[in-house]
Amino acid sequence: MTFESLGIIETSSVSASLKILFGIQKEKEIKIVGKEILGGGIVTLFIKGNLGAIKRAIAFGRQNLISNDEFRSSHIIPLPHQQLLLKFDLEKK
Amino acid sequence: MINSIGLIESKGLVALIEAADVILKNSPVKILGIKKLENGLVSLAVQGNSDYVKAAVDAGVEAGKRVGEIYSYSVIDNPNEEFLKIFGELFAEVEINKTVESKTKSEKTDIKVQNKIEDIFPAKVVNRLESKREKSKPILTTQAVQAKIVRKSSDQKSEKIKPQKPIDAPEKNLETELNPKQDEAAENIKPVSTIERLRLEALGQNKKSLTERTTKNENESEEDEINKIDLSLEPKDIDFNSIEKMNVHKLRNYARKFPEFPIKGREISRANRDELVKLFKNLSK
Repeated sequence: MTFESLGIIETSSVSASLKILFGIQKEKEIKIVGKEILGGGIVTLFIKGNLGAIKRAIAFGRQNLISNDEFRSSHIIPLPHQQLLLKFDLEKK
Repeated sequence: MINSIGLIESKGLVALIEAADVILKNSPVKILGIKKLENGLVSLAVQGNSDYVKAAVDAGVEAGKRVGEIYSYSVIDNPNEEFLKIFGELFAEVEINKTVESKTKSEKTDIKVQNKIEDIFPAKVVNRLESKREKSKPILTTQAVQAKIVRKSSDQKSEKIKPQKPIDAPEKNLETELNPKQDEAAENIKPVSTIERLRLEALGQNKKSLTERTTKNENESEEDEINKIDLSLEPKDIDFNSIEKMNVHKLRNYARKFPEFPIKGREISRANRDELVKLFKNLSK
């Protein structure tokens, strides 16, 4: 069994999220599981994979975007509940 | 207060997902769904026991505030049906039937309890319990048991019963002889009520009694004829036909009338019927 952890990155615009995606591409132990475009320009990215890789990805995003106030918030769930993944449609690998 | 609904609303998904994860990991509560609103607002609905829901919402809000913005939160205890309808419209994933379980739960539990009872107790006991509730219904189990017993007894005592059958046979014949009359009466007057049935039965009994009386009259008539013969007889003439019909006592009295009879006095009273008949035959010779 591979215990994959979940990372969530929230940005205040679509362009900011694309920037993060571009930066994350280098990490090979990460999969982008889903995205949510809420109203008001808020875009959420869901990342699944190794815990260390997710931490690196989030750090990269925070370093690049915090200056522009495009980075809203981020969070890492090391061992997400199965029900949570089912409810948010994040179970695909 | 079994069912209550908790709601958490946040700006951005991060706080909400953190809250949902904390809730799922720490409390026995079911997540109903997530609703996306305008301007980056997202709301989460949670269902379960009221105390658990309150605790879960508090924990989720605390966890969400650490990460992002929690806009508002609330707990609704014992929601109304109309509220649930509107709630179902808001949350497309919410299944209304599941939220209204509180009313249907009692029926389901009854069924479960019955199944358990059937598992624990055999069907006979359940039938008895039901029969106690409804006394008009007969107990099936006892009937089956009686039938079995009857069969066994008939098999075992069949040899003992056989010699008794010829004794019972004439009575049955009488009944069969009487039955057709009853059947004719029944055909003439169809029994609608129990009273008429009883009347017919009573009439049948009357017929029986009548037939018995007739048989008795016939016996009495024979006795009268014998007595008449006795009176009419002269001492010198011996009627063997009458002697064969007579009793022992009558024979003795008859013998005392003959002065030529070989035995006299107490010897006649001690003598048997056969001896008396032999002596009569000797006299005739």
